[in-house]
Amino acid sequence: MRITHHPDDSTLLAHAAGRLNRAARVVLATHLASCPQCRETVRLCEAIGGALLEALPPTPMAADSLAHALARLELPAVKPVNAPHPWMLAEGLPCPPSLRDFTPGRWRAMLPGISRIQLLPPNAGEGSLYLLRIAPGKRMPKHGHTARELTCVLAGAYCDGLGEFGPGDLSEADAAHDHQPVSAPGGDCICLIASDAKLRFEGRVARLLQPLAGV
Amino acid sequence: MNGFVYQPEYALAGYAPPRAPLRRRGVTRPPGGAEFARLVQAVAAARDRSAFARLYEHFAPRVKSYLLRLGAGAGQAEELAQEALLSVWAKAAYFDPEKASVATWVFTIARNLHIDARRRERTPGGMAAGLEVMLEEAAPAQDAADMLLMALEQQERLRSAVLTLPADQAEVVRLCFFQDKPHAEIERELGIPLGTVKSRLRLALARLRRLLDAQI
Ligand SMILES: [Zn+2]
Repeated sequence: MRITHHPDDSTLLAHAAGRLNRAARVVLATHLASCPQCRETVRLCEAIGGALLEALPPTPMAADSLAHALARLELPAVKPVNAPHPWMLAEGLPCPPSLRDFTPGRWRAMLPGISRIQLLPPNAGEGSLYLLRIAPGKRMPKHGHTARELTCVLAGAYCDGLGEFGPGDLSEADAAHDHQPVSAPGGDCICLIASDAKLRFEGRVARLLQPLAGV
Repeated sequence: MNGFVYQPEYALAGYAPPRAPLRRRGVTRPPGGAEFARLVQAVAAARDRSAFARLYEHFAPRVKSYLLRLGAGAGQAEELAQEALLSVWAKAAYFDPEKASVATWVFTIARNLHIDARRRERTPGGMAAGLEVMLEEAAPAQDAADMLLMALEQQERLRSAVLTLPADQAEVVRLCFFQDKPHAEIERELGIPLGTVKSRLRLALARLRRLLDAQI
Protein backbone atom coordinates (compact mmCIF):
# COMPACT_ATOMS: atom_id res chain seq x y z
CA MET A 1 0.00 0.00 0.00
CA ARG A 2 1.55 3.32 -1.04
CA ILE A 3 -0.04 6.18 0.84
CA THR A 4 0.36 9.69 -0.55
CA HIS A 5 -2.41 11.67 1.18
CA HIS A 6 -2.25 12.23 4.93
CA PRO A 7 -4.30 14.14 7.50
CA ASP A 8 -3.12 17.60 8.58
CA ASP A 9 -0.77 17.71 11.59
CA SER A 10 -3.36 19.72 13.50
CA THR A 11 -5.93 16.97 12.92
CA LEU A 12 -3.53 14.33 14.23
CA LEU A 13 -2.84 16.52 17.27
CA ALA A 14 -6.58 16.89 17.95
CA HIS A 15 -6.85 13.10 17.60
CA ALA A 16 -4.01 12.49 20.08
CA ALA A 17 -5.61 14.99 22.47
CA GLY A 18 -8.80 12.91 22.39
CA ARG A 19 -10.99 15.76 21.20
CA LEU A 20 -12.31 14.31 17.93
CA ASN A 21 -15.73 12.72 17.84
CA ARG A 22 -16.16 9.02 17.23
CA ALA A 23 -16.80 9.25 13.48
CA ALA A 24 -13.55 11.17 12.94
CA ARG A 25 -11.62 8.88 15.30
CA VAL A 26 -12.66 5.79 13.37
CA VAL A 27 -11.65 7.26 10.00
CA LEU A 28 -8.27 8.36 11.39
CA ALA A 29 -7.69 4.98 13.08
CA THR A 30 -8.29 3.38 9.68
CA HIS A 31 -5.61 5.55 8.07
CA LEU A 32 -3.19 5.14 11.00
CA ALA A 33 -3.40 1.36 10.80
CA SER A 34 -1.60 1.51 7.46
CA CYS A 35 0.47 4.70 7.86
CA PRO A 36 3.66 4.48 10.00
CA GLN A 37 4.46 8.13 9.25
CA CYS A 38 1.24 9.43 10.83
CA ARG A 39 1.53 6.95 13.71
CA GLU A 40 4.88 8.58 14.44
CA THR A 41 3.26 12.03 14.46
CA VAL A 42 0.53 10.79 16.80
CA ARG A 43 3.21 9.40 19.10
CA LEU A 44 4.91 12.81 19.15
CA CYS A 45 1.58 14.48 19.92
CA GLU A 46 0.91 12.03 22.74
CA ALA A 47 4.33 12.88 24.16
CA ILE A 48 3.19 16.52 24.21
CA GLY A 49 0.15 15.35 26.18
CA GLY A 50 2.44 13.52 28.58
CA ALA A 51 4.62 16.59 29.09
CA LEU A 52 1.57 18.77 29.74
CA LEU A 53 0.12 16.21 32.16
CA GLU A 54 3.41 16.05 34.04
CA ALA A 55 3.44 19.85 34.37
CA LEU A 56 -0.10 20.15 35.73
CA PRO A 57 -0.43 21.23 39.36
CA PRO A 58 -1.67 18.13 41.23
CA THR A 59 -5.18 18.05 42.72
CA PRO A 60 -5.16 16.05 45.97
CA MET A 61 -6.97 12.71 45.85
CA ALA A 62 -9.27 11.66 48.72
CA ALA A 63 -7.33 10.67 51.85
CA ASP A 64 -8.21 6.96 51.54
CA SER A 65 -7.80 6.83 47.76
CA LEU A 66 -4.47 5.00 47.69
CA ALA A 67 -5.70 2.46 50.31
CA HIS A 68 -8.77 1.78 48.14
CA ALA A 69 -6.63 1.38 45.05
CA LEU A 70 -4.27 -1.02 46.82
CA ALA A 71 -7.26 -3.06 48.01
CA ARG A 72 -8.55 -3.22 44.46
CA LEU A 73 -5.25 -4.66 43.23
CA GLU A 74 -6.32 -7.91 44.89
CA LEU A 75 -9.38 -8.21 42.67
CA PRO A 76 -9.02 -10.61 39.77
CA ALA A 77 -8.15 -8.82 36.56
CA VAL A 78 -10.99 -8.37 34.13
CA LYS A 79 -10.27 -10.36 30.98
CA PRO A 80 -10.26 -8.12 27.93
CA VAL A 81 -13.13 -8.81 25.57
CA ASN A 82 -12.01 -10.58 22.43
CA ALA A 83 -12.15 -8.43 19.35
CA PRO A 84 -15.20 -9.29 17.26
CA HIS A 85 -14.59 -10.99 13.94
CA PRO A 86 -14.31 -8.81 10.86
CA TRP A 87 -17.44 -8.61 8.73
CA MET A 88 -17.34 -8.43 4.95
CA LEU A 89 -17.58 -5.06 3.22
CA ALA A 90 -17.82 -6.79 -0.14
CA GLU A 91 -16.84 -10.15 -1.54
CA GLY A 92 -13.25 -10.87 -0.55
CA LEU A 93 -12.97 -7.60 1.41
CA PRO A 94 -13.11 -7.92 5.22
CA CYS A 95 -13.73 -4.71 7.15
CA PRO A 96 -10.65 -3.04 8.68
CA PRO A 97 -10.07 -3.55 12.44
CA SER A 98 -11.39 -0.03 13.10
CA LEU A 99 -14.88 -1.13 11.96
CA ARG A 100 -15.07 -4.46 13.75
CA ASP A 101 -17.24 -3.31 16.62
CA PHE A 102 -19.88 -1.86 14.31
CA THR A 103 -22.94 -3.87 13.41
CA PRO A 104 -22.62 -4.92 9.77
CA GLY A 105 -25.06 -2.95 7.65
CA ARG A 106 -26.59 -3.55 4.24
CA TRP A 107 -25.60 -1.59 1.16
CA ARG A 108 -28.47 0.73 0.22
CA ALA A 109 -28.63 2.14 -3.28
CA MET A 110 -28.56 5.95 -3.55
CA LEU A 111 -28.17 6.31 -7.31
CA PRO A 112 -27.29 3.78 -9.99
CA GLY A 113 -23.75 2.63 -9.18
CA ILE A 114 -23.62 4.38 -5.80
CA SER A 115 -24.64 2.78 -2.51
CA ARG A 116 -23.94 3.35 1.16
CA ILE A 117 -24.00 1.86 4.64
CA GLN A 118 -24.69 4.26 7.50
CA LEU A 119 -22.58 3.27 10.53
CA LEU A 120 -23.23 6.20 12.89
CA PRO A 121 -26.36 8.31 12.50
CA PRO A 122 -25.85 12.04 11.89
CA ASN A 123 -27.72 13.17 14.99
CA ALA A 124 -26.19 11.15 17.82
CA GLY A 125 -23.55 13.76 18.65
CA GLU A 126 -20.61 11.62 17.46
CA GLY A 127 -20.57 12.75 13.82
CA SER A 128 -22.02 10.93 10.84
CA LEU A 129 -20.04 7.87 9.73
CA TYR A 130 -20.80 5.93 6.58
CA LEU A 131 -19.35 3.73 3.86
CA LEU A 132 -19.75 4.73 0.24
CA ARG A 133 -19.40 2.27 -2.62
CA ILE A 134 -19.00 3.61 -6.13
CA ALA A 135 -18.95 1.49 -9.28
CA PRO A 136 -15.79 1.81 -11.42
CA GLY A 137 -15.51 4.80 -13.76
CA LYS A 138 -18.43 6.61 -12.17
CA ARG A 139 -18.62 10.39 -11.90
CA MET A 140 -20.10 11.53 -8.58
CA PRO A 141 -22.44 14.52 -8.64
CA LYS A 142 -20.50 17.73 -8.04
CA HIS A 143 -20.84 18.71 -4.41
CA GLY A 144 -19.45 21.07 -1.84
CA HIS A 145 -19.41 20.79 1.90
CA THR A 146 -21.29 22.97 4.32
CA ALA A 147 -18.81 21.76 6.91
CA ARG A 148 -16.05 19.19 6.97
CA GLU A 149 -15.42 15.65 5.91
CA LEU A 150 -12.72 13.04 6.45
CA THR A 151 -12.49 10.27 3.86
CA CYS A 152 -10.31 7.16 3.94
CA VAL A 153 -10.21 4.89 0.89
CA LEU A 154 -10.61 1.19 1.72
CA ALA A 155 -10.61 -0.29 -1.79
CA GLY A 156 -10.33 0.90 -5.37
CA ALA A 157 -9.46 4.52 -6.06
CA TYR A 158 -10.94 7.88 -7.03
CA CYS A 159 -9.70 11.14 -8.48
CA ASP A 160 -10.72 14.70 -7.72
CA GLY A 161 -9.16 18.15 -7.94
CA LEU A 162 -6.79 17.24 -5.10
CA GLY A 163 -5.30 14.19 -6.80
CA GLU A 164 -5.72 10.44 -6.91
CA PHE A 165 -6.73 8.63 -3.74
CA GLY A 166 -6.08 4.90 -3.30
CA PRO A 167 -6.34 2.45 -0.39
CA GLY A 168 -5.19 4.01 2.89
CA ASP A 169 -5.19 7.57 1.55
CA LEU A 170 -6.98 10.15 3.64
CA SER A 171 -8.69 13.28 2.34
CA GLU A 172 -9.77 16.25 4.45
CA ALA A 173 -12.37 18.47 2.82
CA ASP A 174 -13.77 21.66 4.27
CA ALA A 175 -16.43 24.20 3.47
CA ALA A 176 -14.24 25.96 0.94
CA HIS A 177 -13.72 22.84 -1.11
CA ASP A 178 -16.05 21.77 -3.96
CA HIS A 179 -15.24 18.55 -5.68
CA GLN A 180 -16.50 16.04 -8.21
CA PRO A 181 -14.81 12.71 -7.54
CA VAL A 182 -14.50 10.14 -10.33
CA SER A 183 -13.92 6.52 -9.38
CA ALA A 184 -11.08 4.71 -11.12
CA PRO A 185 -11.74 1.90 -13.57
CA GLY A 186 -11.09 -1.64 -12.38
CA GLY A 187 -13.07 -2.33 -9.23
CA ASP A 188 -15.58 -0.68 -6.93
CA CYS A 189 -14.24 2.22 -4.89
CA ILE A 190 -15.17 1.83 -1.23
CA CYS A 191 -14.60 4.78 1.11
CA LEU A 192 -15.16 5.37 4.81
CA ILE A 193 -16.40 8.88 5.50
CA ALA A 194 -16.86 10.97 8.65
CA SER A 195 -18.92 14.08 8.13
CA ASP A 196 -20.14 16.84 10.38
CA ALA A 197 -22.94 18.24 8.27
CA LYS A 198 -25.08 17.80 5.22
CA LEU A 199 -23.49 17.73 1.80
CA ARG A 200 -24.56 20.50 -0.53
CA PHE A 201 -25.14 19.23 -4.07
CA GLU A 202 -25.22 21.45 -7.14
CA GLY A 203 -27.37 21.00 -10.24
CA ARG A 204 -30.84 19.56 -10.79
CA VAL A 205 -30.09 15.82 -10.62
CA ALA A 206 -27.74 16.39 -7.75
CA ARG A 207 -30.43 18.27 -5.84
CA LEU A 208 -32.68 15.24 -6.22
CA LEU A 209 -29.92 13.26 -4.52
CA GLN A 210 -29.83 15.61 -1.55
CA PRO A 211 -32.67 14.06 0.46
CA LEU A 212 -31.27 10.58 -0.21
CA ALA A 213 -27.93 11.59 1.15
CA GLY A 214 -29.30 12.38 4.59
CA VAL A 215 -25.77 12.95 5.67
CA MET B 1 19.47 1.46 36.77
CA ASN B 2 20.30 2.05 40.43
CA GLY B 3 21.82 5.03 42.09
CA PHE B 4 18.79 7.27 41.80
CA VAL B 5 16.62 8.10 44.73
CA TYR B 6 13.00 8.97 44.30
CA GLN B 7 12.49 12.69 44.80
CA PRO B 8 9.21 13.32 46.53
CA GLU B 9 9.83 17.07 46.74
CA TYR B 10 9.99 17.17 42.96
CA ALA B 11 7.06 14.81 42.67
CA LEU B 12 4.86 17.11 44.73
CA ALA B 13 6.08 20.43 43.40
CA GLY B 14 3.76 20.51 40.41
CA TYR B 15 6.40 21.88 38.12
CA ALA B 16 9.80 20.77 37.02
CA PRO B 17 12.52 22.59 38.96
CA PRO B 18 15.84 23.07 37.20
CA ARG B 19 17.98 20.05 37.91
CA ALA B 20 21.67 19.48 37.59
CA PRO B 21 22.14 17.10 34.69
CA LEU B 22 23.57 13.74 35.64
CA ARG B 23 26.00 12.41 33.12
CA ARG B 24 26.79 8.83 32.31
CA ARG B 25 28.53 7.67 29.17
CA GLY B 26 28.09 11.15 27.74
CA VAL B 27 24.31 11.09 27.95
CA THR B 28 22.30 13.38 30.18
CA ARG B 29 20.01 11.29 32.32
CA PRO B 30 16.65 12.62 33.37
CA PRO B 31 16.10 11.25 36.88
CA GLY B 32 12.32 11.72 36.86
CA GLY B 33 11.61 9.80 33.65
CA ALA B 34 14.11 7.01 34.32
CA GLU B 35 12.84 6.55 37.86
CA PHE B 36 9.19 6.30 36.81
CA ALA B 37 10.10 3.81 34.08
CA ARG B 38 11.93 1.73 36.68
CA LEU B 39 8.89 1.80 38.98
CA VAL B 40 6.60 0.59 36.18
CA GLN B 41 9.04 -2.20 35.40
CA ALA B 42 9.08 -3.19 39.08
CA VAL B 43 5.27 -3.37 38.99
CA ALA B 44 5.41 -5.51 35.84
CA ALA B 45 8.17 -7.87 36.93
CA ALA B 46 7.55 -8.23 40.67
CA ARG B 47 4.01 -6.90 41.24
CA ASP B 48 5.76 -4.41 43.52
CA ARG B 49 3.05 -2.66 45.53
CA SER B 50 5.29 0.04 46.98
CA ALA B 51 6.44 0.95 43.45
CA PHE B 52 2.76 1.17 42.50
CA ALA B 53 2.06 3.39 45.51
CA ARG B 54 4.78 5.80 44.40
CA LEU B 55 3.41 5.95 40.87
CA TYR B 56 -0.06 6.46 42.31
CA GLU B 57 0.96 9.35 44.53
CA HIS B 58 2.67 11.11 41.66
CA PHE B 59 0.30 10.50 38.78
CA ALA B 60 -3.23 10.13 40.23
CA PRO B 61 -3.41 13.79 41.39
CA ARG B 62 -2.18 14.99 37.97
CA VAL B 63 -4.63 12.78 36.09
CA LYS B 64 -7.34 14.20 38.34
CA SER B 65 -6.31 17.75 37.38
CA TYR B 66 -6.34 16.76 33.71
CA LEU B 67 -9.86 15.32 33.96
CA LEU B 68 -11.13 18.36 35.86
CA ARG B 69 -9.81 20.53 33.04
CA LEU B 70 -11.75 18.42 30.56
CA GLY B 71 -14.92 19.28 32.46
CA ALA B 72 -15.32 16.12 34.57
CA GLY B 73 -17.05 16.57 37.94
CA ALA B 74 -14.90 16.19 41.08
CA GLY B 75 -16.31 12.73 41.83
CA GLN B 76 -15.85 11.46 38.30
CA ALA B 77 -12.33 12.90 38.05
CA GLU B 78 -11.36 11.14 41.29
CA GLU B 79 -12.88 7.85 40.12
CA LEU B 80 -11.33 7.91 36.64
CA ALA B 81 -7.94 8.92 38.04
CA GLN B 82 -8.04 5.80 40.21
CA GLU B 83 -9.14 3.70 37.20
CA ALA B 84 -6.23 5.09 35.19
CA LEU B 85 -3.71 4.05 37.82
CA LEU B 86 -5.32 0.62 38.20
CA SER B 87 -4.76 0.26 34.44
CA VAL B 88 -1.10 1.06 35.05
CA TRP B 89 -1.01 -1.93 37.41
CA ALA B 90 -2.90 -4.17 34.99
CA LYS B 91 -0.99 -3.17 31.85
CA ALA B 92 2.48 -2.60 33.30
CA ALA B 93 3.94 -5.48 31.28
CA TYR B 94 2.96 -3.69 28.06
CA PHE B 95 4.77 -0.49 28.91
CA ASP B 96 7.74 0.10 26.62
CA PRO B 97 10.10 2.81 27.94
CA GLU B 98 11.67 3.24 24.51
CA LYS B 99 8.38 4.21 22.95
CA ALA B 100 6.97 6.58 25.52
CA SER B 101 7.65 8.14 28.88
CA VAL B 102 5.53 6.95 31.80
CA ALA B 103 3.79 10.36 31.82
CA THR B 104 2.88 9.93 28.14
CA TRP B 105 1.65 6.40 28.71
CA VAL B 106 -0.47 7.51 31.66
CA PHE B 107 -1.78 10.40 29.58
CA THR B 108 -3.02 8.03 26.83
CA ILE B 109 -4.66 5.75 29.41
CA ALA B 110 -6.47 8.70 31.04
CA ARG B 111 -7.46 10.12 27.65
CA ASN B 112 -8.97 6.81 26.53
CA LEU B 113 -10.84 6.40 29.82
CA HIS B 114 -12.28 9.87 29.41
CA ILE B 115 -13.33 9.12 25.81
CA ASP B 116 -15.06 5.94 27.03
CA ALA B 117 -16.78 7.75 29.89
CA ARG B 118 -18.06 10.45 27.54
CA ARG B 119 -19.32 7.79 25.18
CA ARG B 120 -21.13 5.89 27.94
CA GLU B 121 -22.88 9.11 28.90
CA ARG B 122 -24.12 9.51 25.33
CA THR B 123 -25.10 5.89 24.79
CA PRO B 124 -25.94 4.23 28.12
CA GLY B 125 -24.98 0.55 28.03
CA GLY B 126 -22.57 1.16 25.17
CA MET B 127 -19.43 -0.92 25.14
CA ALA B 128 -16.00 0.44 25.87
CA ALA B 129 -14.02 1.61 22.89
CA GLY B 130 -11.52 -1.22 23.24
CA LEU B 131 -10.63 -1.25 19.57
CA GLU B 132 -10.04 2.46 19.45
CA VAL B 133 -7.05 2.38 21.75
CA MET B 134 -4.52 4.39 19.86
CA LEU B 135 -1.32 3.61 21.66
CA GLU B 136 0.07 0.28 20.52
CA GLU B 137 0.54 -2.14 23.34
CA ALA B 138 3.54 -3.87 21.90
CA ALA B 139 5.54 -6.34 23.94
CA PRO B 140 8.57 -4.74 25.57
CA ALA B 141 11.61 -4.56 23.33
CA GLN B 142 14.84 -6.35 24.19
CA ASP B 143 16.73 -4.58 26.93
CA ALA B 144 19.13 -2.36 25.07
CA ALA B 145 20.49 0.00 27.68
CA ASP B 146 21.92 2.57 25.26
CA MET B 147 18.72 2.75 23.22
CA LEU B 148 16.81 3.24 26.44
CA LEU B 149 19.11 6.02 27.58
CA MET B 150 18.70 7.77 24.26
CA ALA B 151 14.94 7.38 24.43
CA LEU B 152 14.83 8.77 27.97
CA GLU B 153 17.10 11.59 26.94
CA GLN B 154 14.91 12.44 23.99
CA GLN B 155 11.74 12.27 26.08
CA GLU B 156 13.28 14.68 28.55
CA ARG B 157 14.32 17.14 25.85
CA LEU B 158 10.89 16.97 24.30
CA ARG B 159 9.29 17.56 27.68
CA SER B 160 11.26 20.74 28.30
CA ALA B 161 10.71 21.89 24.70
CA VAL B 162 6.94 21.53 25.12
CA LEU B 163 7.11 23.67 28.25
CA THR B 164 9.07 26.39 26.46
CA LEU B 165 6.99 26.72 23.28
CA PRO B 166 6.33 30.33 22.18
CA ALA B 167 3.33 31.69 24.07
CA ASP B 168 0.88 31.74 21.13
CA GLN B 169 1.70 28.15 20.17
CA ALA B 170 1.65 26.96 23.78
CA GLU B 171 -1.79 28.49 24.24
CA VAL B 172 -3.46 26.62 21.36
CA VAL B 173 -1.69 23.36 22.21
CA ARG B 174 -2.93 23.61 25.80
CA LEU B 175 -6.42 24.47 24.61
CA CYS B 176 -6.36 21.44 22.34
CA PHE B 177 -5.41 19.09 25.18
CA PHE B 178 -7.26 20.57 28.11
CA GLN B 179 -10.45 22.13 26.87
CA ASP B 180 -13.16 19.62 26.08
CA LYS B 181 -15.99 22.04 25.48
CA PRO B 182 -16.61 22.97 21.84
CA HIS B 183 -14.72 26.12 21.13
CA ALA B 184 -15.59 28.34 18.18
CA GLU B 185 -11.97 28.72 17.16
CA ILE B 186 -10.92 25.17 17.61
CA GLU B 187 -13.68 23.02 16.27
CA ARG B 188 -17.07 22.34 14.91
CA GLU B 189 -18.73 18.97 15.03
CA LEU B 190 -15.79 16.73 14.16
CA GLY B 191 -13.52 18.48 16.61
CA ILE B 192 -10.95 19.53 14.06
CA PRO B 193 -9.23 22.87 14.65
CA LEU B 194 -9.80 25.77 12.27
CA GLY B 195 -7.79 28.54 10.65
CA THR B 196 -5.12 30.22 12.73
CA VAL B 197 -5.42 27.56 15.41
CA LYS B 198 -4.46 25.02 12.76
CA SER B 199 -1.41 26.93 11.61
CA ARG B 200 -0.20 27.52 15.16
CA LEU B 201 -0.54 23.84 15.98
CA ARG B 202 1.41 23.01 12.81
CA LEU B 203 4.17 25.45 13.80
CA ALA B 204 4.38 23.93 17.28
CA LEU B 205 4.71 20.42 15.86
CA ALA B 206 7.27 21.47 13.24
CA ARG B 207 9.34 23.09 15.97
CA LEU B 208 9.30 19.97 18.16
CA ARG B 209 10.09 17.71 15.18
CA ARG B 210 13.07 19.88 14.21
CA LEU B 211 14.32 19.69 17.76
CA LEU B 212 14.07 15.90 17.85
CA ASP B 213 15.76 15.52 14.46
CA ALA B 214 18.61 17.73 15.60
CA GLN B 215 19.26 15.37 18.53
CA ILE B 216 19.80 12.24 16.46
ZN1 LIG C 1 -0.54 9.17 7.05
